[in-house]
Amino acid sequence: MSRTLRPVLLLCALPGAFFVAFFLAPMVVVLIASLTTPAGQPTFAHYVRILADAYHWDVLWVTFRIGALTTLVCILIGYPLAWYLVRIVQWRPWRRFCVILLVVPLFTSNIVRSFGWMVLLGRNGLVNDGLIGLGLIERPMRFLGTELGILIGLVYILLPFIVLAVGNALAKVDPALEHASADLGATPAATFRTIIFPLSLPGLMSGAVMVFMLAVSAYVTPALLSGGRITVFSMLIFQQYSSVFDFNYGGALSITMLVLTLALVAIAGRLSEPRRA
Amino acid sequence: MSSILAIDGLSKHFGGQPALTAIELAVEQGEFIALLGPSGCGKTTLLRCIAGFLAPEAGTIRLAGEDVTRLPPYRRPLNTVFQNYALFPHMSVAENVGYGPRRQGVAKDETVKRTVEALELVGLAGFGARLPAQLSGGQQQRVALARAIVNRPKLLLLDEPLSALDLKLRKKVQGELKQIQHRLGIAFLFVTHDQEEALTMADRIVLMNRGRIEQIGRGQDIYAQPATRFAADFIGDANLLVVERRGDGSFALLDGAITLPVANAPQGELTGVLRPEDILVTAEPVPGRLALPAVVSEIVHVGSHASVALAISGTTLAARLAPSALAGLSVGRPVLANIRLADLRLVPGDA
Repeated sequence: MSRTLRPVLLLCALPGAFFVAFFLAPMVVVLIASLTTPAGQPTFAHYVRILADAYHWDVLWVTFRIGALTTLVCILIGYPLAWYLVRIVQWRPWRRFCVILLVVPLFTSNIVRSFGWMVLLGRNGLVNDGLIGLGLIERPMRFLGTELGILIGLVYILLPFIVLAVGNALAKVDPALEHASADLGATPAATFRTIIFPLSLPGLMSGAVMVFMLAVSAYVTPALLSGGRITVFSMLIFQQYSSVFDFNYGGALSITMLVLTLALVAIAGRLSEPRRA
Repeated sequence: MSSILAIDGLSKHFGGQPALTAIELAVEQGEFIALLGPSGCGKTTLLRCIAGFLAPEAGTIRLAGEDVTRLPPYRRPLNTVFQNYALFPHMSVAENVGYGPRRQGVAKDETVKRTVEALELVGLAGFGARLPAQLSGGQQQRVALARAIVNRPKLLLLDEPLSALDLKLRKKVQGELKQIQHRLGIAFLFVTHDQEEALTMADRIVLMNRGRIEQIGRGQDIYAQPATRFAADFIGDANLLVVERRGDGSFALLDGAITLPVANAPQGELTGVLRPEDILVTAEPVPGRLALPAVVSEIVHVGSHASVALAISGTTLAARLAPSALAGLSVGRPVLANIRLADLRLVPGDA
């Protein structure tokens, strides 16, 4: 009995051990660091310092505003794009090509892509030249060092997540449901509103959560496109770990960020929760 | 008085392949019609054309006198029960049933009233709050029916609605469906590939094959007077005999064992149709019948009757006998197969 049971137990323990070693343990290390002084004495001083300082709240506000706007713009562009790929493109090779176009940038480094945007968004970059050429603006617009510039960079990098999540959800909606809806007298617009959109909502939500979390925790893109004028929370954390070497204070910043992000995601999830039996 | 549904010269192609050819069909108020045929015969394509999910290349579809051929599905005064029910998974049973009235702008309390009535009619009163995933297959099927009839359509289309149910449940639901149809007086157009289902439920059967209508009629009429070889073969069992046309205009079957006088038979290839129960197997000739010498080659008992294979002039015919008529029969024994020429029908089509 125990002879056959032991290998089974060991096998079952493996995934658990993996999670403990690679996910739980690092988190616990950071959490403990955030609750201790450099000498190892327990303290809440780091958290008090963060929460009592208006500067931190300002940075948090900027960070979450950029995150929320990025998510919103990604949804506004990504949903129609996913619809186009899943519902309008009939020719499979073209659809496959579009998906590849969408996914391939994910294989290149964020740094390379953000530098690309620095070039494009610069005073004499392609974007300003184009806008002036079209007569939309007279003098070059300032993108670098503005929230708009960061927003453009983040949307570009995170858009595929929404498109893939929504496209996956749309592809799973049974065409027979649309037929049934039309058969019962619903116009195509009503069918979208009452059947297709609600059924794609879980995919949209999971994509939006992913984009939001990646946007608020992004470092490279905001750092490169901010030109030092805008600070997001991940930059504060980076400073503490890389320049100040204060792992305790840095840990407290990380945990604050994590808790607030999870809280916001939980609230959003509760608000849009589909009806459950 | 025009028909509820009138289809005239309807044709549909899929990539050059004809799927429906010159369909003519009229359905009257309150009729129960079965669209019967093997898979790929075009019956579902025809249903989709009527519902508006496919656009035909030629012909017209009229609903209660109105030409709906070019109307989108949501403007056609009919409803469909789909093969896999297509219930909306994110809506409760009541919301599913109330969907049609809501889309048509029926007042809220009227929608609720009609929903309750429809659910009562299909025997699901009190199930309104459940989600489709919490129902059995049979219950989902009833919700799909309630969702369709709540709109009081002029015509209800049913696309193999019972094919996902097990045999026992299917028999039960067949009876209930027939009762509901009778009570509502709505014309039902019911697609099925199951001839027994068509025979037990339908007032008239529309028999289809290869995109064409082979025959329209009551089940017993198609059985007794099949119009084509396909009709004879598809409805019930039949012995299909090769027919030779002779120089003098008469016909020879079974290598000349049977000759039929000159008749006003159709042109082209003909097939002789003889039902198994029309053959009497005896030792002595039966008066008024043609006695053909035969040898018993096989006896298969099927409970209520026995199927006896008879070798006659190199052809094997099946005869259906009551168990009592089997006395004295055994394989290899010479017997007489007694038939009436009146039971032998010549229909177009190659045997």
